[in-house]
Amino acid sequence: MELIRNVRRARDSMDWSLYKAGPPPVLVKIAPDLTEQDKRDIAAVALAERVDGLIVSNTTLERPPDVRANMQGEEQAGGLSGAPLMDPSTQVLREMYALTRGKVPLVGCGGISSGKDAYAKIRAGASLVQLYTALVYQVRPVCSLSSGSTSGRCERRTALYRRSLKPHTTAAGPRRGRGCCRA
Amino acid sequence: MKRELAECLREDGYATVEDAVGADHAPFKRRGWFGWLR
Repeated sequence: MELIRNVRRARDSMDWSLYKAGPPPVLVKIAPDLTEQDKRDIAAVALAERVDGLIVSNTTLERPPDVRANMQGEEQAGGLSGAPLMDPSTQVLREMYALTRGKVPLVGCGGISSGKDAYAKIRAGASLVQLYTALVYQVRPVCSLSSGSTSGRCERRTALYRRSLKPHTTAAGPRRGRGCCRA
Repeated sequence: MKRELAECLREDGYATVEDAVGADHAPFKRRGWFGWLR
């Protein structure tokens, strides 16, 4: 909780007047290898601190059985990304959506390499989806490169994200998510 | 990828991405969040 406050303080102490979209939102990226208590605690902090969003999830330290079968007895260090991460990260996403009652924007991340994968994340509760490993292995089929400067694209994406930050829940109770997705 | 996502949405009868966000939770939403969390 203190870390989030410190990061926000640091952000707010900077001069963002040159950026049309204003200061960037602060999102918390969580691991897929969390205990049930970890997830409950993170959801409680996210709601209490009104974080701008959660990115679910980072890479996994686990090695699923099908990956382990190809390791030929070798031990691997570090986080695993890509297709093996799709199911576990989507499950955590689903749980975090429920634990935050749809009130915190979630970014679905981990193992997305197709429109169907993105759709699964959206159904599980993602207002946005994030790609990384798939871009390394299959850039063109995943997305076409847009024209324009990098800074311009970043500003547009920040503006899009800000529009998606409206609460997902009304006073009358949860409703279907509100947000945007630019897969 | 966007084309495939659009097809998925259309097949399930969603007009926009926004409509599909959290769709897996729809049966639980009808029962109420606390009912599901228990």
